[in-house]
Amino acid sequence: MHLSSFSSVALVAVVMIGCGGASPPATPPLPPLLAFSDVAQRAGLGDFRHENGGEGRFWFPEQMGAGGGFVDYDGDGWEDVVLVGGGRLSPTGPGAVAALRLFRNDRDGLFTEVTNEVGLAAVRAYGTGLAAADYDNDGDQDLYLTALGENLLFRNDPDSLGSGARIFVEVGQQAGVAGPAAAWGSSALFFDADRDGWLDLYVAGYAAWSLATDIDCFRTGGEADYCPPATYGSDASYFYRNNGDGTFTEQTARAGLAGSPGKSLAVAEWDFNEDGWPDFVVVNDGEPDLLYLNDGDGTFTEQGVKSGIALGEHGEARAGMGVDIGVVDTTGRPSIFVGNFSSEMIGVYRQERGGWFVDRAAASRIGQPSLSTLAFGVLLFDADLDTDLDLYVANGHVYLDPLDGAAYRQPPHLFINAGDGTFTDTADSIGGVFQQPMVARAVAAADYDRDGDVDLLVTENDGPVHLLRNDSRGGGVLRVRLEGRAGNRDALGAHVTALTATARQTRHLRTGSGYLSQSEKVLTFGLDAAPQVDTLLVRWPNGDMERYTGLPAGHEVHLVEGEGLVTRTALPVNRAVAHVAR
Amino acid sequence: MPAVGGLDAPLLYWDLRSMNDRHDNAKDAGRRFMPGLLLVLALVVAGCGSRGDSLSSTEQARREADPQAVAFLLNAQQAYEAGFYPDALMLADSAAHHAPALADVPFLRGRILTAMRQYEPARAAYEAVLKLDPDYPGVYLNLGNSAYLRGEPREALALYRKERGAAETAAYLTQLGRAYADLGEADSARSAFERALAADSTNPTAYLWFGQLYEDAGDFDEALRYSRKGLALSPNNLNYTYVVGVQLLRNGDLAGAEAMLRKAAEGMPGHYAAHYNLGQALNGLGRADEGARILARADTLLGHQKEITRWENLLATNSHEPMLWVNYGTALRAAGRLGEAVEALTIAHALKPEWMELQNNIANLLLERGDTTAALQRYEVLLRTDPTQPDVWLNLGTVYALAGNYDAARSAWETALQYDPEHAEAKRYLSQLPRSARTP
Repeated sequence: MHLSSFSSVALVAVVMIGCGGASPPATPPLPPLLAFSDVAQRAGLGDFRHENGGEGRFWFPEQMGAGGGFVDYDGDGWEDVVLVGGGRLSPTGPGAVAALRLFRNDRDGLFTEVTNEVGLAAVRAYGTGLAAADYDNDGDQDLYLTALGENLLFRNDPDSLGSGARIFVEVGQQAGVAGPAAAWGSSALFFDADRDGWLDLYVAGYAAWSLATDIDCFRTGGEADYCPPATYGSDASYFYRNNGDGTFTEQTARAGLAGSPGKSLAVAEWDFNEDGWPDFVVVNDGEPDLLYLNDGDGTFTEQGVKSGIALGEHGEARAGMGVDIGVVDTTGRPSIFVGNFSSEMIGVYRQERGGWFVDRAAASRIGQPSLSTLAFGVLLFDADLDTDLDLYVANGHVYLDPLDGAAYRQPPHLFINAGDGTFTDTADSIGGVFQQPMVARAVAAADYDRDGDVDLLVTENDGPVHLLRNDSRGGGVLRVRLEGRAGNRDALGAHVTALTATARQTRHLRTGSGYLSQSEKVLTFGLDAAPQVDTLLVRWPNGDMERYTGLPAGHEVHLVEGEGLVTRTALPVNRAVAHVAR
Repeated sequence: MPAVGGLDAPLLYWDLRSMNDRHDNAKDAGRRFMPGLLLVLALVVAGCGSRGDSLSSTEQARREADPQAVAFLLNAQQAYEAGFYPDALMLADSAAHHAPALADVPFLRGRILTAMRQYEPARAAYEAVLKLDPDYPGVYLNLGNSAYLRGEPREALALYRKERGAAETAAYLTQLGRAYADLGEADSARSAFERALAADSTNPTAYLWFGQLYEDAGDFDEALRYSRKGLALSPNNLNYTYVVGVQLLRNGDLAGAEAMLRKAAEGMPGHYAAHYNLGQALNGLGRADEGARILARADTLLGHQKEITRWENLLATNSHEPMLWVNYGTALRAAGRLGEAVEALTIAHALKPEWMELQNNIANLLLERGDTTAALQRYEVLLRTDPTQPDVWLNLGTVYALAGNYDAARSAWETALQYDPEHAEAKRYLSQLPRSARTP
């Protein structure tokens, strides 16, 4: 639970005035400004371990996974946890690994595994990434698992007994989004590319690897090691257009999305030219990154090099891993954050006038600290609820003994924004879990305990999962849950601006981003000391605008397209309030 | 830390060469002053000065060295400088035969093998130096440089820290700073660069890398201050011009960046990064059409770069394969990077000395980049080995003609016809000579 700084100051003032010279009564100490606790074990996620399928043969896919995230699969307003289990790469590998494991949020800080109850226990796949959205507009969250091999789409259905429980039915092939059997999907993005109200799907393809084509690689001294990505060709990425009847049609080439450089690992959506049509960025490993601008006619035009986001400072293609996009300064213009390899800076590309981007990695003060780490998941969130977006970076190497001097297990970065787009890495000073070296991959965000601040879920390759509960003091907060009507039910593509007396914040509701991960779809606006959001502007995916005023801090609001504010729930939420809200 | 723009692999090599050049200049002086020849040679090879009043084992060995060994060593050094690595190695072996206790000999072997990018044999040579003289100056510096070139800054740093004899030179301290910077130890890097500039305030490389450190830290004002100082010390250095241009671009000075980057791109037409950043500057200035043209050129150069990188990756673990070096050199030549192409073919030839055609190709490349003296030297060596090669006579004649020595050109082309009377190009070249040169 957090207190707003406004309340904290008032509390301290009262204590000082009221007590005079007498001994002050015992008061609970204020929580630290920034504090996170790893509560995975005690929350019920402790027995999860990702299985990378390694058998000592240094197979290329071993080091890349795995994903996970937050999905409210039962629609109770409490974010549940979905984790990609991994699996085996050869017939002699581990055979009993569930492709996906689902942990239901018990609304009391604990999770209960329900993988079996929801019909996922018997699913086997060498999974990589996770995306979740209501692709069939029936009001619940469906799951998409990218994999080495066919991708899987799990439609979320009520169980046949009418008990209210949920069951996932795999419909990847039936829906036309399984992709080729010999493929390697990484991150996926649900978005309404053509704004017809039905969510389309972009699936990033990584490398053309199979056991049959595996190549043995060695270090200079002759020791076996993982091959560099350049050893293998690129796997194709795919674009699937939603037909509105539960099926999709593959239209990658028709949409102008075929033939670009590949080895794609992450994808993030934003409307860069503010024409209402969703654009997106694709991050590639060792190839130029891509910026697809939506032409509004079912096609996209690639502008990565021209816009300046494709390459590093000297025009070099870097080893891109994860991506996120957000407005992090007072210019109002978005910046693209790209996690790169060790000895490469995290890319920070801010859009300038005319659609051109400038790399502000060094100027943002993010670049230099990121040189010694290999950044996979990157995630923008307001860690301290002070009105600006901070950056969490999930680090971990792919080589057990990196030549460039980096470590295999690495602590994360937490770059705190000064409000002007310059950052300070505070991970070391926070200590605790932020000093813990990990082989981290995905990071996802959600307020899983509904206390108003944003918590994190971090996966490790061939390791455990970490649930980082945000115990920071923090400022005030407004959380915004959107529900579409005219457009897609998830309201993906909605653009929301919150104005207070001192700050203007922008959020874009979307899937994708990060690395192989799925974050919650509720938007969090940190308000610092502001008592309310004076004006909240919502641009729905179809372009309609709605305006809300005087939304008080410390609440979560549920806004439905065309219907307005449906519920307003005080934070932190207790079980009874949550029940009423639904 | 990413490489200073344009100071990437090729420039890094250049950079190390520049350090060697400083030593080599000193040695040239030594050759002119014969009385001090042996001592000066030793200093040059080691790259360092004397270590105090007491004689080291190497200094003692130098005093006692067989004069024939010294002569072999001098000749080996000369062959090494001229890029005749097989000859240099043979001469070093001869020197070792006459003076097995002289650590200067394996040290030179280490340098030759490093120039041939044969890092493991080079390491063995340096270890042989340490067995003879554990305090030999420059060994750990060179071992560290090899590790740095392999992309192992931590290993490089560990080796640099063992260096004693050359530890306060600007070149050493600059390398030390780069290794620290690569490992994210910015404070140590800053200290090393400050000491480098204290040791030699006219060292442009130290200024440039110090500027890079500030750039990485996001302090563009300081970055530009240092980079401009470096450029002022070496105003014709196009790589430094490029670095300043990129820093101006990152700092938002698009017009200033354009001017610098245009100069760099025009001066280095094969420089992909200069074209790429010039295109970005033009786009930022709103000159999209011009930017698109430059970026298209950059795209072409990028294709070359990918081919170059492909061979570099293969060479990283197969540097003993001469054919890979030939392919690498071919890719470099296609990108217009002729100096590096010469280096690649020189290594290929060193690995397979009997491959005489390579000598001819190296000479042709030298000619292509305008180094007629070196080309002439190569052709003459070839003809000493086998004077019946009409193509080499043809090329030799071309060198003479380019120098305006038409009589010598006529003589060379006529010799080519003597060995191949139907040699069409020799006939054609002869017919194009000025009349006076054609009819003696």
